[in-house]
Amino acid sequence: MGALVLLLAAVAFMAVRWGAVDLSTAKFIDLIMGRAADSTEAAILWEIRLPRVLLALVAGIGLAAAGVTWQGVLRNPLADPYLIGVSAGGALGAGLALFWKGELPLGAQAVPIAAFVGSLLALGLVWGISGRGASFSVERMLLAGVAVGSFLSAILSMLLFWNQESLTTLYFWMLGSFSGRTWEDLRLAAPYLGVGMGLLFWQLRHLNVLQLGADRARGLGVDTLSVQRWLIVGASLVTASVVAVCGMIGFVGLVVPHLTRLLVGPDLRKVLPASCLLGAILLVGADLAARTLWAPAEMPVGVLTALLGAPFFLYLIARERRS
Amino acid sequence: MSLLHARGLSVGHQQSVLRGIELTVGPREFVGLLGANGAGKSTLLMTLSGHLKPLEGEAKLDGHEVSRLPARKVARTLAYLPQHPPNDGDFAVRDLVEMGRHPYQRGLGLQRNPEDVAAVTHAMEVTSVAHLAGHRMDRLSGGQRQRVRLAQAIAQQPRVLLLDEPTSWLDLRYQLELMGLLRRLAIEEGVAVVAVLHDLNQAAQFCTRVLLLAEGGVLGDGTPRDVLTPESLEKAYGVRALVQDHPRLGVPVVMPLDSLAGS
Repeated sequence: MGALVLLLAAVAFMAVRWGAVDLSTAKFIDLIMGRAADSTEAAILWEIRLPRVLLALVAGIGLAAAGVTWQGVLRNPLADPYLIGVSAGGALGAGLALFWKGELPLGAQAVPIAAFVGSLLALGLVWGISGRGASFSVERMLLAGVAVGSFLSAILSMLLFWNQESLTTLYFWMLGSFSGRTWEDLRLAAPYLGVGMGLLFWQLRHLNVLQLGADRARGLGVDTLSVQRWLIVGASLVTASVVAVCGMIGFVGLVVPHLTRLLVGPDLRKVLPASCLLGAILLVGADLAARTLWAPAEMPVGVLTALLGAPFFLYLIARERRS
Repeated sequence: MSLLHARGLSVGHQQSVLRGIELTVGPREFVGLLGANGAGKSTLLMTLSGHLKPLEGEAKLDGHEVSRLPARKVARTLAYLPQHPPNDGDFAVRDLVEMGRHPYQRGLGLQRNPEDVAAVTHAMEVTSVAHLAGHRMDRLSGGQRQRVRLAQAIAQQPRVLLLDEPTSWLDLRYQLELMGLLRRLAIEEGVAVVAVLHDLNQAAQFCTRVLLLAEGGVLGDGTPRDVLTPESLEKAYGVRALVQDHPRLGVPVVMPLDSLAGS
């Protein structure tokens, strides 16, 4: 765990220094100490690099935590944060905001706000369908989520068909990127992300026991229905806030929990915090690579995570088969 | 004092398999739940443990309707070992046994208080799994896994222990050890133990009381000697058998002759 913290610090340090303009160590120390506060470099550090790196960091934390939660709640290693249609709601919200750009009184934040609202509406819909009180079931919620997700994606495709000029913009939004993100985005996502993460850590002890199956967990004193519901709300809030500000970055929520399990074992009380760190490291690193490797062009970070994540996942599967 | 109490209890998933069950089990009793396949043994156990709602009547744990008690409260009083628990993943043996302390822990459950440690160590010793502490569950044999699950149940420090065919994965030696352990838990530590069993002779040797289920109800309830008669075995299992005294132990021994359906 200590090694992961150090690694994260190192990656974050590189990520704020390197980019279209590299900051030398001496310059960096000057800027941190508050010298040359009105230079271009200062603006780059404080207004561009730092919010961007921080956003990649919290997005990595959020996606990894949501992935751990979904895989634990569903007891399915293939579950990921985009499973239950929350992200489809976000995409539809973002799409609507792009079509009516300028007509919404939300200014620059129109897309993330609309995406967030879309995500929450999708969650509400899935929630309503999946049953109240004792009739709630995770399986029904999952099915409802997949159906709602497909339906919302279909609506989005229909809108795109009529507004083909928005196609490219929306496509790049959905690939996921931290390009041009500011403190405003961080401010928008942070509160909901914080509440969601709080819920996840609050219920973490129960999530760990839930891995034995709902019946055995109940036998060990876990109020399974309530625990599953809080966890789903927490994971969905986290996912919604991440998707709202940086689109749908794939594979982090799927791969990181597996990778962490290899490092720390199956106890989720260790897996969740370690996954958060690892998710942050990977996403800050991936964003650094996305904006420097092809400079001055910038690859959407979601392309890079899928490009690296999918083969790595295949490697994990092959490894599993061998053992 | 009764720990388990059933009155006019009907159990089943949708249709009742057992009706009008009257049952009281107190501390220091080791009850063997006997009966043919499909007689309702497992269903009764699930209902008494609160995993299944009664269709009619009441099933009380320590004076409270068990299906309405909070899970945490039930788990501090009662431990239930199902017949086919889903797999235990790759948890380490010690971590799995420690989950038995879950109903007593708060917060993240990362800090170990001395009570938890003592309960876990004791549970692992009496089930002979202490030497497996660091092993992964998915690398153990079926019998070893069964003993670890029992250790988890014992770590709960329950006053009521319900077990569904606890001996089914064990070799003869561990069967006898486990039956002896259950009897000691009942008689020395005052736990109320109810176990679904198939081996009538083990039930006769170790249980303080047996409950024979047949024809949707209780056919016999009492000491093994009173219940395990040729007549009741014929009714319950459709099997003719001799029942004699064990030459050394002074308990009844069931010697099956043949199946009535086959003759």
